[in-house]
Amino acid sequence: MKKISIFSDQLRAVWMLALVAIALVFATPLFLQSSNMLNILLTAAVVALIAAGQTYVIILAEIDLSVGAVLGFSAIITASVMSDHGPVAGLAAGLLVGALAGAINGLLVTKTRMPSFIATLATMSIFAGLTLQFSQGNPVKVTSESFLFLGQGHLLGIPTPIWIMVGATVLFGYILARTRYGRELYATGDNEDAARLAGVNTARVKIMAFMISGVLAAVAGFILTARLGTAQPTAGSGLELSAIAAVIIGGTSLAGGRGALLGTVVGAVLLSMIDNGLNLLNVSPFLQGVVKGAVILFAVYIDRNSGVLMRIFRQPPPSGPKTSAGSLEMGARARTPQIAAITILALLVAGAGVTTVVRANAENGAVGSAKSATLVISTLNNPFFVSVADGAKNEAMKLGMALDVQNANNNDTQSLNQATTALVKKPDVLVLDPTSSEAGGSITVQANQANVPVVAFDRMPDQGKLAAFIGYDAVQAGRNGAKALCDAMGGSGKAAELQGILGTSVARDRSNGFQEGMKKCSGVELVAVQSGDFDRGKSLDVTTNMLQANPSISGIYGANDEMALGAVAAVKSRGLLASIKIVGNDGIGDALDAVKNGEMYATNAESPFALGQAVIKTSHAVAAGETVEESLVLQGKLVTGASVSEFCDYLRDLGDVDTCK
Amino acid sequence: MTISLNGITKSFGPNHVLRGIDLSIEPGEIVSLVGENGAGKSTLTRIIAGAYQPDSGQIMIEGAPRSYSVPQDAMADGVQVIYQELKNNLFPQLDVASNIFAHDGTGEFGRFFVNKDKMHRRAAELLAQVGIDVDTRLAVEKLSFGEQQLVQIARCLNHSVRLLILDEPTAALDDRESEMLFHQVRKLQEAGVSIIYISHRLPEVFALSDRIVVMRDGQVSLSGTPAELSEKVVVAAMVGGDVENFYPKEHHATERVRLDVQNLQADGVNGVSFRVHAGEVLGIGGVMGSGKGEVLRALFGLNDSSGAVELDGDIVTLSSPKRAIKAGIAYLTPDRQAEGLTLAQPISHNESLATLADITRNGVVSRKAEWERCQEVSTRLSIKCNSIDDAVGTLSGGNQQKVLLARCLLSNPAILLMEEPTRGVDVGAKAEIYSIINDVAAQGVAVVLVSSDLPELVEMSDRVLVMREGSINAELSAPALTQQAVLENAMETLAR
Repeated sequence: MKKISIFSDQLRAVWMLALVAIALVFATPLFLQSSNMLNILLTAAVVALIAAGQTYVIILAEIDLSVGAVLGFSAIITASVMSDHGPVAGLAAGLLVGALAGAINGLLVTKTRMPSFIATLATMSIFAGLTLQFSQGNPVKVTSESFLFLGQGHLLGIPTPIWIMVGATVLFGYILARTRYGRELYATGDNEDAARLAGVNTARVKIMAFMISGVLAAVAGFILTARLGTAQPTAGSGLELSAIAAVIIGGTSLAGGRGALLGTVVGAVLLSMIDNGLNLLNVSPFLQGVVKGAVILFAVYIDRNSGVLMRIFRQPPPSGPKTSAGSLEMGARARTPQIAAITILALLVAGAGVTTVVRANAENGAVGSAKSATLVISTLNNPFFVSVADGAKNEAMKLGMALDVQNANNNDTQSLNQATTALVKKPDVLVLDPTSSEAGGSITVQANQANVPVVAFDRMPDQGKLAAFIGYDAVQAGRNGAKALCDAMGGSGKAAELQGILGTSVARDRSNGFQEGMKKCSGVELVAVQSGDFDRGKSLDVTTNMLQANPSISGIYGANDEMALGAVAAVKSRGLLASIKIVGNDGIGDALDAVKNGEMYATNAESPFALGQAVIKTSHAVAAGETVEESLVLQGKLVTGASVSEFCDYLRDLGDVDTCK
Repeated sequence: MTISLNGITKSFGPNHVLRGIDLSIEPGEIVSLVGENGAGKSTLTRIIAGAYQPDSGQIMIEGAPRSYSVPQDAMADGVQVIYQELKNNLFPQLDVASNIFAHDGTGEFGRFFVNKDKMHRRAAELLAQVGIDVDTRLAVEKLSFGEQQLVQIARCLNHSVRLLILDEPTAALDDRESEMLFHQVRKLQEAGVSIIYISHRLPEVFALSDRIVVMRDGQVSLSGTPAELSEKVVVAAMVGGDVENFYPKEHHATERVRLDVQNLQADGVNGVSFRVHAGEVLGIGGVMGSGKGEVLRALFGLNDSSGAVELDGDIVTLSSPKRAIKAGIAYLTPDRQAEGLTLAQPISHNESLATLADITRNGVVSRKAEWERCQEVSTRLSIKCNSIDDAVGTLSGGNQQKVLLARCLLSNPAILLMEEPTRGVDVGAKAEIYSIINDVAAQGVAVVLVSSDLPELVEMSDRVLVMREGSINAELSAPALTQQAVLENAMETLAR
């Protein structure tokens, strides 16, 4: 009955997928391996499920920004309930949370007539806050084997999340295409007034759509939790934007009334394939975002200029005067989009080709005994870790080892996906800076199965077998900070603490060490404890507020230097630099400068450059099959105004020429 | 100015929309273009206005050949167009003055910082010229349709217009507003402006034009002065044959009361009572704002209302469209694009939207049942389409209207409420809609017809209620039922 054009809205995403796949096939032989194909689908599952729910909402010309937060909230509730009442009760509770959260969004949009963008922006913040409050920032571990099967199991050799993704696509695609509810959904999204006049209860239709979005976010949360083996309070943050991108790439219109589920899922797979390809090709982690954004733009460009693909493949344009104004206009400038499309395609292929050649040369340059390693680092948005990566590269160069660096952007899922992709390449050693102990544990188990040794640093993975672990002692770092602050304040007065990102182990351990240390400093009262998210700007604001509430503060501890420097800025603007002592942690360049000129009293320097070097030294030994110390705990060094220049000399000797300038 | 078109052709793909048009217009001449939808009128005006370029043929202005690649070229020659859809011309949320000077490139009021006082003074002068007195600081969307059209005329005056094209300007206007517009058009004519006037309303065309040009299938099929032609001849030239009886009224009224409305109160409706019988077509007339449309919206549960409504003897509560449909009431909205159709969805989905419950089992829509009933009703209403899977937005206005009517009929209503059923619909589709009304009445449905098209109201109704200021002012039936009588009762106070 229905004619389906091969260039229809839905299938355009398939064409995009094919283009990218072809480019990647030419670019790297690793891409076509069946295990890599499964990886792509596996890593697409979470976004695909969220995007499926988002499709319902976007067909209504609404948007649901809260899905990521709902995922995190329901994951924490699921894991907590499961630990007391078993997996069935946990799943039920998680689904209930998703449905309730969706119902709240739906009621806000329909009953208070708030724009969904605003309403769900607000509930996103509320759900994320509730998650942190409920979990106190701590991840909740999951041990139920049957639950873990949802994320880590296989059926017929195919990972369970892929089955769940396929099942949900079929079920919710069917609801959309064949049921009365689906009809009413499209009608309401196309023209709400018309739907109401035709007797459709449009408010009910909208509330249902938001509930479906919430429930699917909860299901995505199950998969993520089961893959990681733990529910992370911040698990879903940022995923709403990937989901929206998948929906739009899939041909669903933000204006409402058009779209379908198949396109959305293909869109999610495309995003996952781009990530996979960029990882396989070792594209600079800084540039990956640029490439991804460009591909999204290209996909949407094709969606909005539907004639482009047809002309590339020399199909006659659609006939008839229906869109006479449009077709005329396009006729006049028919060549431009064609050239643009071919250019972009050519660039993709050429870029991929160049990368391959460069890679090949790099490999040839280090023939024979040369070892390879992949470093999956938690973040490169923080000078500390940038310096770790620099140290690692410096040491790898000295040792003649090939080193790939992948940036997980502080995101468990991304870290897991990058490690999964890296394992396809079978490096001699996987060097891991886990975004969380639990994600690190899952990765280590995977690497163990793939027989790739793992050297971890900074955070200890909670399971699996490590070849070695190297890390600074975070609890001791907190104690050092407390001691320095106590000394600086002369043993009396009021102090404030800036904690790192709630829910991360480093933040937890340093804070525990600091507070333990402060107990010994009985004359100093800790009057304020707030999170500065390891971020300078955030800490500037938080400190400003703290000083407002407690004007008599005379000492501030920042759990890292970025936060301490934020505090410096706040204190400086109030002209209180002379009377408030500030202590940080890490020993980054800016902080050393601040210590040198007296703005900060001290920093517990944990030279990241040295850490990076130590990690690679050990990794190289592991790759060469030598025996190494299984656990290497590094201790920080308290640097004050008196010892800055000495410390800088030490760094230069290591080969770190960037930190002290 | 003198404009002449020689052998203009235009095709979109395989579709020949214009097949050699020759036409010339003298200064101060009003030429009406009539023809069914799809005859090529809009394409022709777009070519004159520079929005399209002809495939062959020539546009001559004052004897010199011109070719326009963009509308700005045509504007520079003094060609101005007032399109049918207001939203194509006006910025609804900007004030009146800003709309009047929206395309003003002279920088008269300052290039970066607008001298608002000067602009509003000048706007008020232009509005006075077109005979309306509205606050120039009011957002245009707050004005009536008629005032909005006159704002566009005022904009044209500012541009020293030499050729004015009006594309169905009166489609949304009532008679008084139309008359104000015609007055302005005649004033422009006296000033030597050439005018191309496009309308489906033949009485207007005959009253206004110096010459009537009938288009059919991309060609001029008839041309002459109003004195030489008659409505019947023009209609015949439009549809390509003889239309014997344009209003094929049949009488099916019985004595059985189906709808009994007592003391209906709603926004714009002050205590209206009436009965409609099985097989009867009850017309409701009145000027805009008389409450005639509001009565239907209240009965369909769109506006809050009070009063007693009985349907086949049972008291019904009509608090939402959903309930009204369930009770057996169908409503054909006057604005099919804004609140009737879901344009991106297939014809079949639009037709079955109000009656999905009939073809749904366990929540799943039976595609077979839907296909059969939609195919049947589309054939019955002769909806012209390649397939009922096509999006409604691809259909012509008349066919879109029939899809909406099909939705109403699929619910097998006891009461059919219709508001402006033939607005923006071509002559052929009009006749078809009238014959559908006859069929529906013959099946014993009680029809309520609200229309501002006087001949339609008078010819198609068994009985007409004339409303004024929210109340029924008169009830007319043959032989007292004439256009004149409806008009007098609708505008009694205005007449003085």
